Amino acid sequence: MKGELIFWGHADHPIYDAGQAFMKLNPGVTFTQVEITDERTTKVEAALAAGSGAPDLNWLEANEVQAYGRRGVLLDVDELVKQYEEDLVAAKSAEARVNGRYFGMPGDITPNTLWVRPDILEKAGVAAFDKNIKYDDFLTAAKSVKEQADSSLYVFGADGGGQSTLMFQAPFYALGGNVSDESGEEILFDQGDAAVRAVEYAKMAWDAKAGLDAAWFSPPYWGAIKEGKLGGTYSPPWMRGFFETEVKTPETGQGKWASVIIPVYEGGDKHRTNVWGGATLVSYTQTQVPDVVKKFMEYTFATMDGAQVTADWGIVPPYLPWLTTKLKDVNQTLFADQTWTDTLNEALGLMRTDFYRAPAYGVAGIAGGPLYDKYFLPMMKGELDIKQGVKQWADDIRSENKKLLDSLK
Amino acid sequence: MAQAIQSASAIPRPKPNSRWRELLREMWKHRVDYLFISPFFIVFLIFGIYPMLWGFRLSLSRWPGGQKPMEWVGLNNYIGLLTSDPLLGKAFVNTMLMLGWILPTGLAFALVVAVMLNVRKLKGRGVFRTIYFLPFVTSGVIVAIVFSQFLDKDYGWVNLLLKQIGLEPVPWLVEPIPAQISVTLLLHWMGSGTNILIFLGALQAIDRELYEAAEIDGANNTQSFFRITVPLLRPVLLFMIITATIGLINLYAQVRLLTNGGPQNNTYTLFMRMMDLIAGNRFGEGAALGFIIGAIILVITFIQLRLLRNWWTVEGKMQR
Repeated sequence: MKGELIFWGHADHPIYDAGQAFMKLNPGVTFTQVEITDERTTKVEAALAAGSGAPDLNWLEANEVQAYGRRGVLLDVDELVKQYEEDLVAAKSAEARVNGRYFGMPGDITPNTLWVRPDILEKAGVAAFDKNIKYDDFLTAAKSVKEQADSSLYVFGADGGGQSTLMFQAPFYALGGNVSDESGEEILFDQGDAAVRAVEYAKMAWDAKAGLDAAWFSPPYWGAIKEGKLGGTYSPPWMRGFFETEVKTPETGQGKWASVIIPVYEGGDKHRTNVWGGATLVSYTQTQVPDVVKKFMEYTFATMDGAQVTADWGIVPPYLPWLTTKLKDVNQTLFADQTWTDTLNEALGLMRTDFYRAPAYGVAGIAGGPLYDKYFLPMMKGELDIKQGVKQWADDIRSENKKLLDSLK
Repeated sequence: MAQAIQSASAIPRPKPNSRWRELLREMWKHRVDYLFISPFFIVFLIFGIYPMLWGFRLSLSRWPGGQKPMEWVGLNNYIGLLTSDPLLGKAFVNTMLMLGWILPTGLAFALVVAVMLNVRKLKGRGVFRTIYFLPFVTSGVIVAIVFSQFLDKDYGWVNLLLKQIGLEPVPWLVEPIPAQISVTLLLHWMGSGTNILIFLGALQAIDRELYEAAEIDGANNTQSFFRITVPLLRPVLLFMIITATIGLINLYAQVRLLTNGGPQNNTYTLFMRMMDLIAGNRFGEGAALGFIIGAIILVITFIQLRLLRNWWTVEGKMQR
């Protein structure tokens, strides 16, 4: 097999590691990563309009796969993925499927769990978390940890962005919320009470004033982690890769973390997790080496070796033969022992198959964005009534989603 | 006179055809000259005019990107933006507010510093000039990142300094007004250097004899400043107001990096909205907003030109 694969992605990337391993197995293939972050969309659009120049491999968020898939610019990998459909986590596969066909290789499954530092809990005189700890009790513990150990058990920046959004996203998911139906046509954000209750739960965390107030991924954020000012956080598995890059010594917390399933929200005990990020590997119709691309996708997320490489970086590959046998052996330095993989396995079993990240999901910005900023913080600060805020937020999502779907036709 | 008019009107006016022929003949006569200036026009046509026309067509179309054809939708993109966009109003107000305070304060600051640097006996003027100009040659991206660290609520140097002198720390980037002040500080810091240099150049071009004559006539420094300096800076001031207006309405990178439009969209600008629309696969609306921004710039510039053209005469009298 011969060919050149160009991958566009941020620095410190699991697909880069997979590329190195793939080259060793296939000496005729060269894998090159171009570090592109903020300007990715602009460059991809320019290449698509020009008819050439798009990367052979890209790592797209779920709602982006749905939008690009609808536009017909992604390489159809239906045949490849269908071969492995039963070996892949169903909740993740759904995100790579557009109108019944696969336009991406299901990549990172990202069930959130609660990461904690038992040493910090102990310092604050707080007992280790019971497996079924309720959200109220969790917040009480968080207040004690703040007072007694000057540390936080969750992140809630004053800007409300980044990891802070998990304080809303987690209950929204657990309580059965959805931004839209699978087709993305119907907005369900304000149907039922999931969104209202999720905002109320987030407000409880805001009002407790026990969260770490630091912008996500900023130097103060990493500083707080290294100094033990963050003793816990709702976190997706892929954060481990970034944590391990920063937390390199026992003094900064290496090997001191543990993980448990997120606290119970009343009426939300069936799905005690949620998804945040977790990208899908795609290629564009422009690629000159579709066969090599498909082989790479297959290697990365549908073989034991490939899954191992990406998991060693920190993500959770969706390949069930690997997940059920090897997840427990993954190389990691962050957690005190391998019990975190038991938690992860448990979270995988709690994932919803009816949670959709259609294009509307990006519009809604429940993981951050201008619409989130418009409504979320005013509701946290009590400047906007929660029911009214959720209704207005949903109306804006409807209007914006209609325009987006219209432009994708 | 009547005869002259009559005889002038009696001269047959060249037909349009013959005027074109005349023009082509003239062009052919100067063909070598045209050949030498043609590279600019060719490049301008390809990279200036064509993209603008293409963008205008896009603003009147629905387009899913890639190599698919555009579908004509008339003014729908413009109407949709102006009537039902949930963020455009806020972005417009923010942009205008920032323009309203950053433009006058920035120019006033630059003018004051330039006047101070223009003092005859000032030693080390070159050093000061370099110091003020340095921010301009520093990468905007780096500056924004450094500012975000300086202004961090808990760990930033600015708040550490405030605490040292017994003052309360300010939530620079997380509360609306302080965030707007932070953006203002960043833009002043970056933009003042060029403004000061331009003002300084213009100040040095003013004939000293005018000040000496005014002094003999009994004018004090303030009178000299408002009646000689400011009126004679009018052309430069006009140029700077217009270019700064265009720059501020197109404000994007610094705000994106410093506040990302927050908190609560209080620093979210028109240009950020346009970029978000484009990044969100809504190319037609993004293009339409681009032209709306262009129209806003034209209107504001026109108003500025009308006002400033009549406000000051060279004699320094206010006239309207």
